[in-house]
Amino acid sequence: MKKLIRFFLVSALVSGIILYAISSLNQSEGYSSGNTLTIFNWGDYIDMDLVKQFEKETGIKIVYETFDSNEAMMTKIEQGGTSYDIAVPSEYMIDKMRQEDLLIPLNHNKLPNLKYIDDRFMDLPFDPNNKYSVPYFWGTVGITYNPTLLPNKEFNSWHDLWDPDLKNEIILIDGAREIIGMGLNSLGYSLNDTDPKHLAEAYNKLKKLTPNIKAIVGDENKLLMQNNEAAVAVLWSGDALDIMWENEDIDYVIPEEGSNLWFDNIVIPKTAKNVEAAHQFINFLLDPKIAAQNTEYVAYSTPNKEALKYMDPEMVQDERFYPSPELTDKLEVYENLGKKNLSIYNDLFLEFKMYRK
Amino acid sequence: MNNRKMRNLFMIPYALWIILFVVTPIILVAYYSFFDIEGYFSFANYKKFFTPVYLKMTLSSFWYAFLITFFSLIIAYPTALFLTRTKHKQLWLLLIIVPSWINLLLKAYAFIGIFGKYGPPNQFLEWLGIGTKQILFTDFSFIFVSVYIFIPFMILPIFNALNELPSSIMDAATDLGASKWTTFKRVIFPLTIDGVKTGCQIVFIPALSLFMLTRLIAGNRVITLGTAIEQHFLVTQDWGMGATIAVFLIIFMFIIMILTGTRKRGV
Amino acid sequence: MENNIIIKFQHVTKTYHDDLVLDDVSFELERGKFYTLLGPSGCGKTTILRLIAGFTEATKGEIFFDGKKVNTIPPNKRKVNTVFQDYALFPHLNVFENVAFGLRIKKFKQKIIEEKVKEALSFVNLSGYEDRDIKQMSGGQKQRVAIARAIVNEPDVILLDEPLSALDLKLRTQMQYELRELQRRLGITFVFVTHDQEEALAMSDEIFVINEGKIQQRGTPLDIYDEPINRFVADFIGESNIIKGKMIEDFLVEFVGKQFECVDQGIRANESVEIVIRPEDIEITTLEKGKIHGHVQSVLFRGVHYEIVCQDITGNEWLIHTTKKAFVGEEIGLFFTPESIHVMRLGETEEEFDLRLQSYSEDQTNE
Repeated sequence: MKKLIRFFLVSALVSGIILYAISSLNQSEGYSSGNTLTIFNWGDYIDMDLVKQFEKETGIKIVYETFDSNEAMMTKIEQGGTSYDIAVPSEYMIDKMRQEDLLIPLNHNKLPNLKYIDDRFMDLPFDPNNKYSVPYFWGTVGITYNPTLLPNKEFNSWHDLWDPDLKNEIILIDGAREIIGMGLNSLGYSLNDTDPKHLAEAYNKLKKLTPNIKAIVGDENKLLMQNNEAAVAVLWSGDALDIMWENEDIDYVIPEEGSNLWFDNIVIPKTAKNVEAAHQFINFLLDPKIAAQNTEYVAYSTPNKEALKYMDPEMVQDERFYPSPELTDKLEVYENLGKKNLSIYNDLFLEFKMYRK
Repeated sequence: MNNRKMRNLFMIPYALWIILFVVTPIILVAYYSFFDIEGYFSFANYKKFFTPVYLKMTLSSFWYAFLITFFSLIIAYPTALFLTRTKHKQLWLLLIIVPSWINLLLKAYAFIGIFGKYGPPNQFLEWLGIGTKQILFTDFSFIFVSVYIFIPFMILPIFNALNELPSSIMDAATDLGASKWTTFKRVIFPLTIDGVKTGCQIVFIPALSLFMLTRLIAGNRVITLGTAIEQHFLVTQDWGMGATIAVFLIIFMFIIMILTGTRKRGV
Repeated sequence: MENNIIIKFQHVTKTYHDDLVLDDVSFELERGKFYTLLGPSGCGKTTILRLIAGFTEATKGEIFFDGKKVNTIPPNKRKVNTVFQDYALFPHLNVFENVAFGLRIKKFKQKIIEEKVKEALSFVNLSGYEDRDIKQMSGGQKQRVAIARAIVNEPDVILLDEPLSALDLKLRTQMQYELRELQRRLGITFVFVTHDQEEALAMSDEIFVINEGKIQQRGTPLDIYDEPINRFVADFIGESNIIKGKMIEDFLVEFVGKQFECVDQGIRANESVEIVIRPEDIEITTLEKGKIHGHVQSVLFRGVHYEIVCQDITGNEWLIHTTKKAFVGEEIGLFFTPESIHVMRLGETEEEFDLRLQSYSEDQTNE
C-alpha cells in the first residue's frame, strides 16, 4: 500500500515538473505575442534558408512547427491551443476544413505573386477561385518500381500491372479513390466517373489484379519498397520521391492512361493572429526565384510556372515529375463526388479487398 | 443503515464509470447505426449488413478468430501444464507475460522485418535450399502474429486453473489405474475447463475485431469486422455503417459470453 | 509363511535433495492385517505410504509386493489404492462416477460397474447417494466416498493417509470403528498413517512408531503402550511419567532415592536407566501406604478422571489419572505395583530390546 502511494506521488511529481518545464519553454520562445508568424507544415517541407531570409527582410519572427498527417493537423487547429498563422493541408482536407469553418478567406490583393501560378493549377474543384488556398506543391499517383528486382519489365501503362509475371509483387495504397480511380483510368474512364456500369467494369478489372497483389497498406509502403520487400507499388509521387531518396534503384512512372493530380496547399487557418504577416509570407513563397529555390530543396513539383525558368533544367525536364502537356491533360483532380457516390467507391474498394482469387 | 449508506457511497464511482464508459457508448453506437451516410434516419445500414459482402466478412472474422483461438489454445495448454511443473514457475510465467507489455505496433513492425524477404525465416529457407517464400502478408503470418500476441492471455487463466489443482487429485487418478493421458483427459482437462473457457473468451472476442494487424501483417488481405469499423470511422467517414457493424459485434460478443459463461456448479 | 507377506521393505532409504527422509528401513506387512504408521509430522511415515503406492521411488533398497520387486512399477500398475488426506475426490464427477473411476479405466461392463459401485457404496453406508454432487457431501460423507472409491477396485492393500484428520472428534471416533470393521469384513491389508496415538491404539493390529526416518518400535498396541522401548515412544504413545533411575539388580530398580521391586531383568547392575510409569497406573493413597510422597500442585477435572500433578521430594513431577479427588497443597501418597514399573535402557535398539525380552520369556518357560 505504502509502495502504491509512493508510486502515485512520484508519478504526480514528475508530471508536474514536466508540465512546468513545457510551459516555461513555451514562454521563453515567445509564442503568444509580438510580430511573429507561426507556420504549421509537414516535416522537411520548406528550405529553412528561406525562412531566415524572410525573417531578415521583414523583421517578423517565424515559429515553425511540423505535423505528419492531415488529420493530426486538423485536430490541432480545431483545438486552437496554438495560434497557427499558416498551414499546409492536402486538397481533400481543404473541403473538410472549410465545412468546419477552420479557414480564413485569402485577400488576393495582398498576393500579387499569385499570377505566377500556372493556370492549370488555379480554380480547381476543391477550392473554386482559390478563395482559401494557394497551391504549394503538386504530384500524381503512379507506379513505383524497382528495375533491379524486375529486369526486362517496363512500366508505362496501368495495364502493365496485370502482367501474370508480377504474381504477388504489387503493393497498393489503402485508398478507395486511388485504387478505384486506377481501375477506371485503366479502362479509359475518368477517375471521377460515377456511372454504375463503369464502376462495375472497373471492379471486375481490379478483381483480376488480385493474384498480383502482395498487400494493400498505408505508410508502410515506403518501408517495403525501400527494403526491396516489394518490387512494384501504386503510390503518390511524393512518397515515390521519398523512396527514391533512400533507394536509388527505384523508378517512378505516371501511367499513360492518366492518373490523379494532387496538391498540398497553403491556407490561413482560423487560429491565425497575424493574418497580415501570413499574406506577406505566402506572397514571398510565390515569388518565382524563391519558389525555385524552395522546389530545388523540397524536390516535389511546383505549380509556379515562372519558377521553372530559374530551376535546374534537368529537374524541369524530368517527365516523371513534370509530365508532358499531353499527359498532364489526362491527369485529373479528385472531384467531390458527394457522400453517396463516395460510399459506393468505398464499398467497391472493400469488396475488392475481400476478394480472394 | 449507516453501512448501507457507505456502500452506496462506494458504488458511485463504479456506477459513474459504467454509465459514462459502458452504457453511454453502447447507446451512442446504437444511435449512430440508424443514420445513413447523408445523415438521414434509416435502416439502410442494417439492410446493408445482410448483403453478401458483410456476411462474408462476418464469416471470415469468425473463421480467423476461431483459428487464432484454436492455435493459441493448442500452444498455451501444454505450455501452462509444463509451467506448473517447473521449479521457478512464477519466473517463467513472468517471462511469457513480459512481451505483452510491449506496444502492439512495435511488435507488428518487428514482425514485418522478421517475416520479410530478408528476415531470418527466409534466410533459413534459403539456407535449406528451399528458397525465399512469401511469408509476410499471408494467412500464416497473420495467424502466427495474432497467436503470438494473444498467447499470454490464453496461458494465464489456464495456468491459474492448473496451479489450483491439488497434486493429490492427479495422484488419485494414477492410483486408480489411470495412465498419464487418461489422467489428463478425464481429470486434469475437465477440471481446468473453466480456465480454458476464460482464455478462449479473452482471445476470441478481441480476435473477432482485430484491425491494425490485418493491415500491417496481412496487408489487408484479411478483412475482419474490426478492420471494417476502423475504415468506416477513420477513412470513409461512414459512421452509421461503422456503428452498425459495431452493434453486431457487440451482439456477437454477448452471445459468446453467454455461451462460454462459467456457471457455478453445486451449492 | 513367505506367502503371507504382502509388502516387504528391504533396507529402503529415501532422500529428497539432501534431506534424509527414510533411513535404511526394513519391514514386512502381512495380508489381512490393520497396520498403523504412527509418528510426528515429517517423520517419514507418509513417504513409506507413497513408496508403497508408487508415487515416489526409493533412493536405495528394495520394495517387494506379493514377492515381486516393484521399485519402478508406476502407481497405476499396482494393486494398491489410496485414501488421501484431503480425499482427492474428483469435483467434476458425482458420487457414482467418482467410485466408478477405477472400474471405468479397467473397462468393465456398465452392468458390472453399477453392481460394484452399489456394493461399495453400501459398504460405506452411502446407498442412495449415487447422483449427489461431491460439493453437496459433508466431510464424513466425502471420506466414505474416498474409501468406497478405493475398495471398489478390490486391491490387496489399502493405504490411508491421515484420512480422519479433517473430521471432528465425534465423527472421527465413529469412523475409527467403521474403518476397523470394514477392514475385518474385507479381509485385506490396511496401512493407516496417523500422528494421533489414540487412533493408532484403537484401530491397529500392529503399530509402527516412526521418528526421524527410522522405525523406533513395532508391535501390537498393547506391547507398545506397556513396553515402550525409549523415551520417544513412551512420550509419543500416551502420557507417561519418565524418571531417571538406576538398575540395582534383576527385578530391583532405584529412583527418587528409593529401591523398588520391578519385573525387568537382563540389565547390567548399576546401569543408568529410565523408568516409565503410566499416569493411570498410579493410585492416590495415604502417606503411610504411599511408596513415594507427593505435594499436589494442580488438579484438573477431565470428566472420567482427575488429572493431578504433584511433585516428589527430589523435584520430579508426577502425572496421575485417578477417579479419587485430591486438593492442591495437600501431601499425598503415591502407590504403584511392580508390574506398573517399566524400565528402559538408554539407547537400546529395537532388536536388542526384542532379544532381551525373548531371553527372559524363555527363562520363564524354562521354569
